[in-house]
Amino acid sequence: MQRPLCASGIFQFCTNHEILEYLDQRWPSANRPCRGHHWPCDVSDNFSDAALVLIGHGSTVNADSATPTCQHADALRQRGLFAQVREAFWKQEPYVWQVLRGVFAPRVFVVPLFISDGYFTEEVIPRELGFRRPGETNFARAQQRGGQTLHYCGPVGTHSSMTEVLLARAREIVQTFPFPRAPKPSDTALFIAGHGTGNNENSRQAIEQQAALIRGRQLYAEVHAVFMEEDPRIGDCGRLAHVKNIVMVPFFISDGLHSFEDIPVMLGVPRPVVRERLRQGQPTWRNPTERDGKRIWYTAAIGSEPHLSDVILERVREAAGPC
Amino acid sequence: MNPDMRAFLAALDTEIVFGQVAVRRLERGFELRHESDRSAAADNLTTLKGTELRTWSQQAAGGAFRPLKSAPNLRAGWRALAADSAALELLLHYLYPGAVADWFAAQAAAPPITSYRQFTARQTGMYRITTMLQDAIAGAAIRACCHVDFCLKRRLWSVEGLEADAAGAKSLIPCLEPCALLLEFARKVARLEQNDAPPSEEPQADAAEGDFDAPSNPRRKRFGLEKQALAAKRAVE
Repeated sequence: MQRPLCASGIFQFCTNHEILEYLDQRWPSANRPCRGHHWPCDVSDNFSDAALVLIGHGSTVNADSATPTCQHADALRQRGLFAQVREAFWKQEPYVWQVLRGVFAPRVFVVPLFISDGYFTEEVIPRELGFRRPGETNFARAQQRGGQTLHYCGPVGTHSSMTEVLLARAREIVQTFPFPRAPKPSDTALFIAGHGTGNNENSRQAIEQQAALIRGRQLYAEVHAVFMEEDPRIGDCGRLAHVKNIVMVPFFISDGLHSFEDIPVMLGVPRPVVRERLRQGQPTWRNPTERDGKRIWYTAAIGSEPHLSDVILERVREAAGPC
Repeated sequence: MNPDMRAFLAALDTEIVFGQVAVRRLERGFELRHESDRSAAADNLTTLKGTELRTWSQQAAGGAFRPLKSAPNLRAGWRALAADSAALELLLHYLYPGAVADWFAAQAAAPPITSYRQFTARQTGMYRITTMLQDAIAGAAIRACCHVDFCLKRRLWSVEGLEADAAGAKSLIPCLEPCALLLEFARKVARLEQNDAPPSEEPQADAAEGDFDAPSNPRRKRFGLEKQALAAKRAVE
């Protein structure tokens, strides 16, 4: 039997087993008093007394970095679910350390639009919001401040439903550019491209976890995690794929230097060509492009994927807990 | 209505100039326009709606990205209408994010001001170096970075030996703590001080506002002048 899991639209329909598995993951059974309730009765979707604060990285040199955060703040503002929706940034106004001065709702949910748990989500943002004092190794994710309850939610990138966001991106690109025809997933190797860095294992883990989840669904012929700064490298995709069609999804929030310029270069476009295309306002990668006998589709970063707004809501629901 | 907007509307009799924006009460709702367009005919101005105003405020004339919305280079030639206080709040948020809340917070009996030392002491990673600037150099960096040519916020925070901006200076928008540009600039200054590199003599076109690696960055040029003034003062002493 299938029935709607949630109103967010990420999972249109799920089996009972999937629903229970999902609930167990969100709330350990000991803390979840109402496993027998019908979905979504055990989740409060009334946030009219709450403010939502989306945190992005931002940039002091270009507007692109902030675009996805603003996009989802606009989208969620339009839905009218929250009393107030604010975006804030590490590098742009309103700054992380500034934003709560303008938030007055009794409940406040802070959701970082970041890919992985790490330096920014666990150290910098909590410190600048006053959740964590310098030197503290841990901090309470829900805190009382004056008459407000502040909830610090997990980053969107590590949420299990990001799998749907990645799959949506992969589906869309071949449907948008079906030349000569859109390949079936079963004839396609899907690559999830991440930054990767020796400084933070979580960066790699978030990508590998998503690759494993998608692989488990057996939709695509192959699923690989590849990286800019670690092995296996993005440029190795042609060698790693055993099928002709490749779809590569950059697991980045923002389209910027990495996704617009660096990755197309790693995929074989000469950097001067990439820069000339950028200068002329053209896409830096043409879908699909033939390389070494492989046909490669390359998507935009996931941050602008509309479903990400629903992942944000899922993070808020998790923090709000059962009603 | 949030208390900051309630206070803002109480201060808005018929018109208030906030940063470079003139906000006027209309018979119904509000109108915003660049202060230099106060006497312009409405028909001669482009009407911007909602997020169009945010997009407009992201670029200076010539298309350069504006990393600081309080920079004195907001383009003129537009007007925007707000039907009610909620719409006005959002439009002001697009133009000057967080500024109304800061304006309100600055009126508290004990405004939440964070000094350069308090702010930099909690930084980690690549910004830890900003704690190493001596007061006089930090002061010169702040004078350069927060100069009225670059930012219209009235700086209420400071560092030892440097006065906060006087009441009535720059604009109504207060600055309650260092910003990301200041932090980045202080980091660059700290590195320059470590290397003690002489400033370039070559005249160059101004680099992007947020590109502190370029010697032709306007704030870096200004810092050169501030250091010269500091050296001259020390010579007299």
